[in-house]
Formats: sequence, C-alpha cells, structure tokens
Amino acid sequence: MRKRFHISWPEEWKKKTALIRQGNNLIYSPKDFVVSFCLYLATVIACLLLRSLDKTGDTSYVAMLFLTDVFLTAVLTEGYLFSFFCAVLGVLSVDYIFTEPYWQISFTLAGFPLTFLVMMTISVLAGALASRAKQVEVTQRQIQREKVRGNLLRGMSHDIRTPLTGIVGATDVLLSQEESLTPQQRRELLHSVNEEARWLMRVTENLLSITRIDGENAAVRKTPELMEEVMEGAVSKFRRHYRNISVQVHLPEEALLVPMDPLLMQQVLFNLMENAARHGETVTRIELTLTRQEEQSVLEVADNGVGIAPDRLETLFDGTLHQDEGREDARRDMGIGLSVCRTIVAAHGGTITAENRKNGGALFRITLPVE
Amino acid sequence: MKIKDKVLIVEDEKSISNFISMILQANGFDTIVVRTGEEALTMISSHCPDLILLDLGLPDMEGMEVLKSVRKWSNLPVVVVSARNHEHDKVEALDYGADDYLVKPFGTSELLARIRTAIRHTRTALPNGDIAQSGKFTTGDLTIDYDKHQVLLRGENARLTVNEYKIVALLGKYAGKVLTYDFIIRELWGPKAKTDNQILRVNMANIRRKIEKNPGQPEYIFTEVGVGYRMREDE
Repeated sequence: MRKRFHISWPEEWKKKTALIRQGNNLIYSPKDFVVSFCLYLATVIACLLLRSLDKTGDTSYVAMLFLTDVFLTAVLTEGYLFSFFCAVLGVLSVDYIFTEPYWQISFTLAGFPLTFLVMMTISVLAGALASRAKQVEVTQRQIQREKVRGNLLRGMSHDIRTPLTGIVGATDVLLSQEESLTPQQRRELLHSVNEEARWLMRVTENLLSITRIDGENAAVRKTPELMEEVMEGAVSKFRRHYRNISVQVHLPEEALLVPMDPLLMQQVLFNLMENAARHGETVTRIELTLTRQEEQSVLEVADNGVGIAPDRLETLFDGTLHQDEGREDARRDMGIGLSVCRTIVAAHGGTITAENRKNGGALFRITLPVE
Repeated sequence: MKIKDKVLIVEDEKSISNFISMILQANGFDTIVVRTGEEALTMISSHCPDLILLDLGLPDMEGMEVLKSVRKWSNLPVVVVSARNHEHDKVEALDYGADDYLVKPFGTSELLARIRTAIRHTRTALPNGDIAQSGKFTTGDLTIDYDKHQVLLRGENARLTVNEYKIVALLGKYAGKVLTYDFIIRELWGPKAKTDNQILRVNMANIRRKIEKNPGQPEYIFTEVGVGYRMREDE
C-alpha cells in the first residue's frame, strides 16, 4: 500500500516512539530533530553572547556549554543518534566558531585531538546511559502492566468458571434426572442457574468496562460529571439486585463536577457496594458519603458488616486469589471486581484505599482530582 | 374481549426472541417475531404493530437503519434492545427517535415496564397534547403548572429560576422518556447553542436541591448516566 503524504505529524511521532520503545534505537523522529536543533542553536547563541560580553578571552565555558547541550539532547531525545550527532557537531563548532582562529577548522591546534576524544566519549556515554534509563523505565512499566493483566485474567477465569460450573451442573441434573426430582428441587436448581447467570452478567460488565480504558496509556475519556448523578446510577442499580440492604447517600451542599468517565465510575461504586453485600456477611446498611477536600473529591463507601481480614487489606486490590481459602470455589472472591475498581480509579488519576471502621464494617475511600 | 397489543420482535438470536415472545404472550401481548431488517420493514407496513422491539445487530442491516426508515413515516413506538452499552449508541438511538433503549442483558420486569410505558406514551401523552389541555403535570408531590410557569412541591412554589423551570417543564412534557443532553440543550437554548452540557448539569444540581428530599436518591428526575435525564411518570 502506498503511503499517503498528509499523515499528521503527531500520529507519526507516536508510531516512531512506539518503535523505539520496542528496542530499535536508531529511528529518528522529527520532534527529536527539532528538539536537538533548538538545543544546539541555543548553545551557540549562548556562547556567542558570552563571548561578546566577556572580553577577557577566557573560553572555558564553551566546552562546558556544549557538554550540557549533548547531555540534554541525550536525555530529551530517544536513542543514541541525536546525542551522537550533537557531539560531533559540538566538537566541530567549538573548533570552528569558538577557538582561535575563529570561523576556521584548525585540526592542527595543540591538544585538540584530546578535546575531541574526551567530548566524544562523554557524549556517547551520556547518550547511552540516558537511553538505557529510559529503556528500563519502559520495561518496568511493561512488567507492571503484564502483572496487572495476569492477575485480571486469573481473577476473571475464576469468576467465570465458578458460576459456569454451577450452571452446567444444575442443568445436567435437570436434564438427566428429570423424573426423580421433586418440583421443589427442580425449582431450587432453576433458581441457582438463574442466580449464577445473573452473576456472570455482572462479571462481563466488569470485563466490558476494562475495554473502555485505553490500554497503552491506561487513560480514560473524561467529561465533567456531577458526582451525585453517578452515585444515583450506581445506587439504583444496586437496589435492583440487592433489595434487602438499605443504602444511604450523603452529599455536600455544593454540587461537585468531577472530570471522569461516568459509566466506569458507576461501575466502581457498584462493585464496592456489591463487594460489601457479598463479603460483609452481616451487612444491612451501606452509606455513601461524598465530600470535597481542597482539590479532591472524596467518596466513601462504608458498610456495617464484619469488615476485612487484616491480612487481606494489603492485597485487596491486586486481584490476588487467596490461598488460605483452600478450594478455588470455596467462596466467590470478587476476583476481578476490586482490581477493576483500582484499574479504573488509577486511570482517572485517583486513589482507592480500604480500611476497617472502628465500630465495625469496612470502608472504601476513593479520591478523584476535581480539576 | 380486550384487543391485545401487538409487539413486533426484531431479533436474530432465536433463544432471545423465544423468551421475549413467551414473556410477552404470558403478559397479554400478541407477538410477531422476525429475524432480519428486511422482514421487519415488510411486517411493519403489513401488520401495523403497536410497538417494535428492535435489536441493533441484525444479520442483513443495522437496526438503526430500520429505526430511521420507520421514523420517516410513523410515530410507532420503538424500543431498542442492544448489547452495546456505550452512551454513544444510546444517544444515537434516542436521537433518531427511539422511545427507549434497553441494554442486554435485561430483566423481564424491566422489559415489560419499558414496553408498557412506550405504548402508553404514544397513546396518551403526546408531547404538548394533555398538558396543553389541563395546563398541569403532576407526579407524586410535584406539580408543574404550565400556565403560571411554576413548579409546585406539595402545593408550595419551589422557586425555580427561569432556566430551571424550562428544564423541568420540558422533562415533564416527555415524562417517562429519556431526553438526551443535546436534545434538552437544543430545545432550551436553540440549535446553535454550544453543546457544552456543563451549564445543564449545574442547573440540574440546583433543581434537585430545590425539589428532591435527597439529591443523591432522587424521586422525580432521574439520570441516565452519560445519556440524559428522565422525569418520573405520572401514575
């Protein structure tokens, strides 16, 4: 396919940087070119300015400024290429513009080969170090992302497999033992199938919500939303599923407009309420409290259940399935629910924490930046 | 004998159309099931159903095309049923004239409620119709007095500003139906208004503080997150 010519620059840069991230160091991007050129120009201008101001004839600053230029180029651009050229250009410029006789290349100057060598070595080393540091950073981000993804997948398969097993089992019994079952038993089996399927529905909602997050940058599309409306949505959905738990909403006087993806935030709140309902054991009441603390909106979801086991507080959000629960299917772990919450909140630039309340029950706290 | 309402189910998944059809029949509706957009269009003109339940992902065409072509000549209620849960899809369907939008998977009680609402709507509460006659809309303790341009809560003036009143009045006219943000903005501030719905949100927050006991658990005006607002219906 022929490349079209009116590709926009930013798109192009993105592709280039993506390629470099994959380990290919010798790809240049126009942005980097502009950056290094500007840096070089700034250095030359600075040197010329200093020379016109300073009449003593001391030119030691020239080499230092050019070294700084090389360093900055290495840090601000991708790969070795630009810092390398910058070093060559720097050495030539020092010779051509800033060493007597001015405006002449004079390789014969005593000590020049040494200067050249030192500057070249330093620049290449700086460039290499800077690129390596960048590589390490990228790799670490990737590792982190893989870890989160792995945990999500594990939680997911657990959350899907358990109810599926229930559904298949119950329908198998219904089909094969049809005659020997009492109507009461049949009803019970159908009821459990219904319940498991509904649970599966909510698991898929969680999965869908993850697809709304841009994977590469872990970013979401934010629009200013009234926090109270998002809470309203989550609460009314929760009421439909869990009729015998009362929910109370406390709002501040002033309405809070917070930039967010409203559907995702609604999912977070629903997950937290559902988590309370399923794992709080004795939960009869859930309270949602919204407050504003300086530039943060703080949303608390508190229940009056048994709280969270202290040893689980730490790994609550990373989707780790707990060994001590023995059998995989011993109890639904909300495997992905809470890690989805964290993923969503983090993509909004917010934080989510959990703690036990002094007078019993668990408390989840979400903070989101208001601006 | 009461004449049954006829529902045309446009759905290509057999298991889904089966269960919907069974539930509707058990609840006093006649049903016709078709699986493609072509068939749907033929059936609509030959059978004149009272409501269309339309799936968006059809094998031969986009469900949205069926909606558009129905809206060219008819006000027939259309409830869209779809697995697409993006606000964007909902807004598009509503803007093209769908009466309601149900996301799969949905509960049966919800389905029945939405269908009944949509049918009742086209029969009785045509925009402006009833209200224009009586000049009033009442739901629960809330009354919108269209002649005096007032919203009353338990008989007391809720003291809405002009803009706040306009929003409530508009929602009241279409009570039970979701109005998209864009629709409300167009109706209130004209078609050229910058579609920035922040002003609308702020107004809504103020309205809720004046008419709802707890703005976090509203009784009268509900939010369809990312889509728009809906006024509670008059029972």
